[in-house]
Amino acid sequence: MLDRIRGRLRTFEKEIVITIVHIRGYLRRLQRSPAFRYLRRDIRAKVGGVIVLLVVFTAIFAGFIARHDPTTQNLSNRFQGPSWEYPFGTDDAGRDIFSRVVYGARTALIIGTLLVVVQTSIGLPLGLLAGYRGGKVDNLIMRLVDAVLAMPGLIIALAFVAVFGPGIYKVVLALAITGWAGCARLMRGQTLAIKEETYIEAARAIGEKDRTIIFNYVLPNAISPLIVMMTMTFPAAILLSASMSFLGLGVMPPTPDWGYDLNAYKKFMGDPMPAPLMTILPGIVMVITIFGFNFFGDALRDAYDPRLRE
Amino acid sequence: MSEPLLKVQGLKTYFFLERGVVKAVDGVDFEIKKGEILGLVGETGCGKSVTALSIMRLISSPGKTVEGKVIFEGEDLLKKSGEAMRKIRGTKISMIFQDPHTSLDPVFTIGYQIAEPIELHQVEEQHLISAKEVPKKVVEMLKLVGIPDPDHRVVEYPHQFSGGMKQRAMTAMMISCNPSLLIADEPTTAIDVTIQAQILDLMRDLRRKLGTSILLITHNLGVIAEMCDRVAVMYAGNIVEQADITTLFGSPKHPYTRALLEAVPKVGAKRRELKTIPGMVPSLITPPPGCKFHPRCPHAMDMCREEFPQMIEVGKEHLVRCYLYSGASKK
Amino acid sequence: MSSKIPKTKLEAVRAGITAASGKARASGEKLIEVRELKKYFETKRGIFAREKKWVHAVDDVSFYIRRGEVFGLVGESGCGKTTVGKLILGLIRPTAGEIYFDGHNLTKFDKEELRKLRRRMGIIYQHPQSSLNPRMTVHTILSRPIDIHKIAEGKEKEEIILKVLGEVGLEPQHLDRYPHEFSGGQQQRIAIGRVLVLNPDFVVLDEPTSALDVSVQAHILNLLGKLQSKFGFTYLLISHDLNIVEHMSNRIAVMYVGKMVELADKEELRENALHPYTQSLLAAAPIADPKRKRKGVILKGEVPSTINPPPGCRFHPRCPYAKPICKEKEPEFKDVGKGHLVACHFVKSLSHKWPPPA
Repeated sequence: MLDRIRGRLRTFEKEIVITIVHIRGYLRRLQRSPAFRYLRRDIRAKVGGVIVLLVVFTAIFAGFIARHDPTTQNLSNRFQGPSWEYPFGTDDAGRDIFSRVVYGARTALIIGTLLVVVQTSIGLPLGLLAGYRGGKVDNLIMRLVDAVLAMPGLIIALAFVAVFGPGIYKVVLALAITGWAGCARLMRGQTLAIKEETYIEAARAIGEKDRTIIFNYVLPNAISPLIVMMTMTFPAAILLSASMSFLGLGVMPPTPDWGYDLNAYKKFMGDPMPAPLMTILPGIVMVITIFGFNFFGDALRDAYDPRLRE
Repeated sequence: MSEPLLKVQGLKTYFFLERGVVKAVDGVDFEIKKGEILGLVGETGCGKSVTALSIMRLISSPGKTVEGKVIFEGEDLLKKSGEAMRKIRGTKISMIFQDPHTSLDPVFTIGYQIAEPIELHQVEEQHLISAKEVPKKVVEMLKLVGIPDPDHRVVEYPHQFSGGMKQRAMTAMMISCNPSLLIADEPTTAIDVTIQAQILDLMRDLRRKLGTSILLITHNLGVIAEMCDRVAVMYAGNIVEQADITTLFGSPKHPYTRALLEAVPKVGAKRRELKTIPGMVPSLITPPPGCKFHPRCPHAMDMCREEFPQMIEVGKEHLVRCYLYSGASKK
Repeated sequence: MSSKIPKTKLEAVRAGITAASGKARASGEKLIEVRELKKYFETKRGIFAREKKWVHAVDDVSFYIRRGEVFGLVGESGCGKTTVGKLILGLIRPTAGEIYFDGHNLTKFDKEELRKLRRRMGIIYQHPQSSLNPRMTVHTILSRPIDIHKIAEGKEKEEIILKVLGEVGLEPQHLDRYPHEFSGGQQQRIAIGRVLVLNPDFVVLDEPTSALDVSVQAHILNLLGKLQSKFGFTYLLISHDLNIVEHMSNRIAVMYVGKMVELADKEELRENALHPYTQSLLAAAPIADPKRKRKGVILKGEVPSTINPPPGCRFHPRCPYAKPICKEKEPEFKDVGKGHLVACHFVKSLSHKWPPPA
């Protein structure tokens, strides 16, 4: 019995080693890829990339970066200005704004990541199916996509939250209801183009099954613009969810959220209590984050553009 | 012996890329006389297209013509201003490109596109004809290139023309201002054989009627044999052999020329296997030292590896860049 | 439905690629037979189109290909030669007519049976770069056919792959690379390797060297010839370049606007081409010899469209010998002796010589 466990562990080890070798091989090939070489030289990729990494790092290690608990109230400590102890000051309930911003990054990235996952899970297969099958299936799916794209995404998301209540996961769902359509359309376009390539017919000529063709021939070649889209979903998600929270129909306390804070602190811009930094500093952080993602995404889009090859 | 229409001397065009400097054209010399058809033949990457573009001063960053002279009708084109070149292009020197399907603008009618250079150059700049006469001239041009029913086809769009007709239309556009030199870059590669015959015939016709000189660039030796008076063979950025047509095909001297001629499947040849050239086309960034062909040459000697050979005259207007013939007088 | 793969062939492949002793060379046995084959494509018109227009890509073509021979198919753009190749392979389904492969009626096969039969067929495309999946390594490209048809596994599979690499002139270190890292000639070798791995009976060569340089073309043509001698493949060589077709083929067929107009042995066609179109094609093909100037007349007019082909004989608008009957009645594809077939009303009565009288 112990032997069996040992055996299983060994196979497990082997699997891990193989996976690592695969990943290393993939990374090495990635480094040789023209897209990667382009990015190394592009300033947008470097600046944007640094910002993105900083934000991600902050989100993951929020616990170590923030000095205080973002939700602890301390009424004797309200409206402190920026100091060493409280880099962004404290808010009207005595909470450390810096810590709130740091944990807010985590919220923002969680929303972004989940949104990408959900949208792509719905959009990718639908787009792939529509593009590959064509005909009535394509028509059906595309008309649905058209209809969804015609809808005002933010308003529907707000309505969704109004009906079903606030919270991170509900926000993601609300945004995904309309968000998947862009991904589906992109995927369908890619599939349509790739379907006509000679190597697809060559695959059929050697006897590949349709399913294999879709997953091993079409998908890997269609993925590049999708990666760009996924990268660009982050800043969109952050902005949208912040808007929702700003309007009170998004993430609610105690979860720290940039949009919520922006709304909560805006009343302190001037009269009667002039503490503009309370809104401005978190606002700047949000702007830089969105900018960083967009900048990097732009560079990524150009990196994948075949026309920029030498 | 009158002055040649075009004289290219020591032309060098390099492309400055991140991974190195691509010496696409590395010292090219040739001449074209009035009314002559010169063929420029070579395989992919030998630099023939870049040579043509260099003559037209159409090389843009990261490429640059770094050295040489292009003497056209007595003047060095490389020293001319952008504006002066613009006036020459389309009027004195014209170029037909390989793919007629992408060279014509799909949103304008054929008539409009042919009229453009006429209006620009002959009406506005040279004041040769008035604006009113332009439509008539356009129809004349279409007739000249053999497009049937030209009065009706002037208002049609490129997509309504077949490949061969598009090539004719483009030719019409390019010769509308009666250039002395026509550069044709692979004009028949993308069209059918029977149409190709028509286009080549058209070009010969133009030479006969208008005295146009033609620089014919192609990799197709059959087309060269049919059309040209003289031929220059290019390899890795240099001309390796130059001769009149009968001499080049009859007694080719350079090993590359010989190998090329033997690699073409010939009708009626008994041999089952074609003779091939070992090795691959060299890198243009780090070409082999000495003669660029030496790694693939069956006759390579020590000298070939060390020093780059100069052109040697081996017969009347027959030049070879090869040490096998150093006995003959150096040029 | 008999689409079984004979055991003997499977074992021959498993033992490594050896000279196919089972394939008789030019034994006369018909490997492929095509009867009254038609393929019409619908042109995509807008919603407001009144009637559908059809592209008559292949319009009533009949011929056969013997086992072990190289069958050349020439014609200009739109003549349907590529479509014929793909129809035989089953990549396109015919509108009408029948295709027989080794006795099996392919037109009656369903999708899955056809897929299994691909084991015995191969195709080489004109543009090697686009015929290879850019996201697959050379190793994967060569393994796929083996895996699909379960020919071998593990060490045996690797042996086959290495043997094939050697045959096409590539090296083991190329296995980990991607297609775009190779030159055009090498890419075409990879494509040939992909075909070789299955050791098929029949290979369609669709303009295999048109996109390659002259010197590379020579390499590839030699390779294809060598492989044919060694493994006994049957080739359908499609090209617009008469020189190549004449160099490699045993028999040559000429197509024009969807129809086959002439079919003969190589020498017979060269010396005694009877159809005016064939003659003009031969006359128009540029020869790399300045002493052999083209004989006079050049064919006038354009290659007609396949959507509205000319009535009667499709060549009549351009034919220097056309008579009234040519406009009304389509000529039959008749045998005039020694397996030489021509589609012309006047093939026996007039003596066609190129150039035609003024």
